[in-house]
Amino acid sequence: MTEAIIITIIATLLAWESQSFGQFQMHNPLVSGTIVGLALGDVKTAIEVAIPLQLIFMGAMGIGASTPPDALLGAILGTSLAIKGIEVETAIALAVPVAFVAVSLNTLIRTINTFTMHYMDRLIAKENYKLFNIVHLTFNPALILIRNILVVFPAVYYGAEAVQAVLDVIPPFIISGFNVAGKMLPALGFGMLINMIGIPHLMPFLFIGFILASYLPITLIGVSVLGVAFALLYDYFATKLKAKGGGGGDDLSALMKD
Amino acid sequence: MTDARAITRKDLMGVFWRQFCLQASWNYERMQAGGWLFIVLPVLQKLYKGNPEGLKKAATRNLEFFNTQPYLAAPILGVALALEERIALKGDIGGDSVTAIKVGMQGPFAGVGDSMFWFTIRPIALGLGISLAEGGNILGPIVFLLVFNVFHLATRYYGVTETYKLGTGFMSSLASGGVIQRISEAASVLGLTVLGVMIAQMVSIPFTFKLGVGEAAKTFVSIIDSIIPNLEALGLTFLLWYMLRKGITPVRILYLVLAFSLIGTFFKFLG
Repeated sequence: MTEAIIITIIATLLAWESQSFGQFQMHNPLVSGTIVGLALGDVKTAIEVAIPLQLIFMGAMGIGASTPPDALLGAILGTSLAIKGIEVETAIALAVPVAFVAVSLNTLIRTINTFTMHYMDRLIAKENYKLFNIVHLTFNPALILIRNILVVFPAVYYGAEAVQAVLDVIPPFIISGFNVAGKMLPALGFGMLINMIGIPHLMPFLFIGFILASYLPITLIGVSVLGVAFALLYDYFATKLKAKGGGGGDDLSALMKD
Repeated sequence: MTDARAITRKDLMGVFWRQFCLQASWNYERMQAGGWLFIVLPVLQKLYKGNPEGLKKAATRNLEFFNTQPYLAAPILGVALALEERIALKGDIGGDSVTAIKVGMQGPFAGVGDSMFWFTIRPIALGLGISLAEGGNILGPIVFLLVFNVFHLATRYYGVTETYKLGTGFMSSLASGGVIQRISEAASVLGLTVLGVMIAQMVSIPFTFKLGVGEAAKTFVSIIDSIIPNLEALGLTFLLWYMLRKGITPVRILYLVLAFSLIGTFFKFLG
């Protein structure tokens, strides 16, 4: 009971942080999972669950008007259930669908916010600026709190035992299947990233990074430094090329004529 | 400007703090509009002190549709406030210029913000954090937060203060020089290079089956590795990317990957 309340409070504070006040990226599974681990006294297990979840949700972000998978909700439930005793793989397998299903709840909240918007219009028309501020700051957080009381609290309260009971009848290939999916799913996050960057002529840089890491014992920091160098070089030559007013083929075609 | 109503450094700090609540009433209709007005409201109240009609008019026009990358709202706020100050104190430009500058800046700045923060800084900071967190080290999440938020806070702070100082002149030079596109592309170069590394290090398909007979049999994975190591990870990423491009939703792809994994472990060619 106490644990379920604590987790619900953490989930709510972090959701407020990521949506209403701040956006310091504490909702990322790597951070939110660790916070759950600190609260429940098992950081090691929490991080063990948080890392694969982080990889899966790396590319999950709200671009423009899109509502991303709720990585925070998934991470909170996954880590707390793992700490309360279910297998790490199973916790991950549960967390991922939760994050995707939560999207529909978040879409509902953002739709309700539209009505709040109209209310705020009326407040400005009536010159009630003080109430406008209050409404802006409190309505959406209140909806998030309600959502978490309805979703997070029962999931953690009944969770581990209910999940364990279901688990005992699950054949082992399903558990290892989720484990395998966990190794493949980061590709989905990366695919989403590539899709959103969407600049085809820059794709060779992805291959350069891939080949470097596949053949050399290079760290991410090393590659980041190289990447900055690539970026500066690219910018220099791209700008130079544009200043010349022509395409890159000019020199070559001049040579060909000789 | 010497007018007592002019915007001071203290006012700008107020804007800096309030901008963290930009998305608090995010909705599908006008998105960050409520947050925008929340941020600029104290400044407007100061600018239109003793002029309730002017305040109401200014507040209404600052409640129009707005949406950009949340951190990159800062430079737009700086410019818009410089304009609002001029409208209130000198009145030589119209209120619609604020709307015009917001509409003009939100798109390109969202592009820069997305490529800088979501495609470059966050993946790199997370990559660092994850590699440190391996084995349960709490340093991982801490380093991630520190690295990411140095860039985040610098953007929000200098975004507001510097662009306000530079006013509108700066922005028009930015836009005309194509600087916005240059920053986007350069950031994407870095982002894609790092992404290539992460695909190699963090994605895998654990095939278990062997090819060949008897002693000569080799695991499928070792055959792939002898061509190009991690090639299957790259192939999978491109396959999923292709599916996304074809308009298949991430949720459906997630279920497809899950189904494939379950079939694989059931027939024992994955594990």
